[in-house]
Amino acid sequence: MDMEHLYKAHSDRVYSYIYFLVRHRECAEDLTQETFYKAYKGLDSFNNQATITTWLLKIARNVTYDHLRRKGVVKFFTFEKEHDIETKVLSPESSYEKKEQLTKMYNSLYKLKKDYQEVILLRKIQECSIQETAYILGWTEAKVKMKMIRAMEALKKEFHQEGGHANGSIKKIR
Amino acid sequence: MQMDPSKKFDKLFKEMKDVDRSENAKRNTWLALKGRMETKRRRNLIPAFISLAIVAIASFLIITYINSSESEQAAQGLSNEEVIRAVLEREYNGPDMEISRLQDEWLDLQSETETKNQEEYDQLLESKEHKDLMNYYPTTFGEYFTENMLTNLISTNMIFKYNHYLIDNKVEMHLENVKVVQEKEHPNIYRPIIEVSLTNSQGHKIFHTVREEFIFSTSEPGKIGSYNGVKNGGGIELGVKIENFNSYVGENE
Repeated sequence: MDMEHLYKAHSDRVYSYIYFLVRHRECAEDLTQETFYKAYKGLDSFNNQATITTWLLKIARNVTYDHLRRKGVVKFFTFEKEHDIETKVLSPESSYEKKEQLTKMYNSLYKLKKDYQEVILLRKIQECSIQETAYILGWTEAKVKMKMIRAMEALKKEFHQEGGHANGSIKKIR
Repeated sequence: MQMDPSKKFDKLFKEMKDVDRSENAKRNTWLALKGRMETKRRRNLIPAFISLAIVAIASFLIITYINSSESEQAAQGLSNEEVIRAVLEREYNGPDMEISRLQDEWLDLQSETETKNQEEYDQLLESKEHKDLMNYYPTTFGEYFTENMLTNLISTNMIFKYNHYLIDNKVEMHLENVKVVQEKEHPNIYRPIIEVSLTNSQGHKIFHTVREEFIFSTSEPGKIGSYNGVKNGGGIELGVKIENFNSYVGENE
């Protein structure tokens, strides 16, 4: 398999996944590089049990999790005060309301339990199937389904509690 | 009119997926990755030449040795079944605190040391922390796997794969029973049935059965050329059991 083709086809997806976990552009680039390097070294062991994207996301999760664990910062989605939300929609042209909604969503997500955050990240944001999510997280499909229902309930609750308070400021946008 | 809340969420999730990434950063990451891959290829080539020379010299000595003490050598070597059992002893008795310590030290060093370019990162790879970690894998598993397979296992976390789970959840794992099953039509393939026990700090114990697959190399007899989980073999469920130990207590205690 040609690594350049693999990188071009999948690196944005891997980067996006890692970025949500580390929330730092340079770090996400470094971990994306590490993910593809590990994939390169382990390409022979890829046995088509999963799609190539799912396999890469699983490696990305391990690489990122190790990085966060070693730094003692396993705080998924924990946005710091100065954190900047970097999505394409958060361009200066975006409406104030849209930014506010997204900020609310991020704030709600980071208040959830880690396993809820992970299942939402994969199922809803990365749009992985139940089977793919189970493979990446090392869970059973039944556990993914159960966690997803509970995670969405918890998110809705947080999201509606989050609204309207004075601190719902827009984060710095680069 | 208010938008349906679930539709609103889906729209927000979609927007969250589209993280902005500069083309420049993407290209730089590719160039750095390409550099590392080329370095690895070069490193693989040099030992190949050295290996050829060693093989040529060693062949003569080995042939002499085999002829003079064939029975003695057979006694020293392990059978395929013994190799499998030795690997499983390592993999399913844990946690292994030494690999955890070495990983911590290496990752701490990476966190503390800023590397601005590939050269600086390559220097970091020469550190004692990295060498100690990378030497631990051949020390523990090296004699059982082909070199290529060991490299793959390290990069894909297929050995010591339950170690983090065990440490994070303060659970000990012990290998209880192994039944090594050899494929009748393919004698190089073995699919052992592995029974392990999990014990938490309160002394509660539960059991779990896993299946794995070992394929012995045809070019390097006695060494494992492929080590795989078996689909629906129970490996994923073992991770779940370790993580949710308390929920399983009483089930098969």
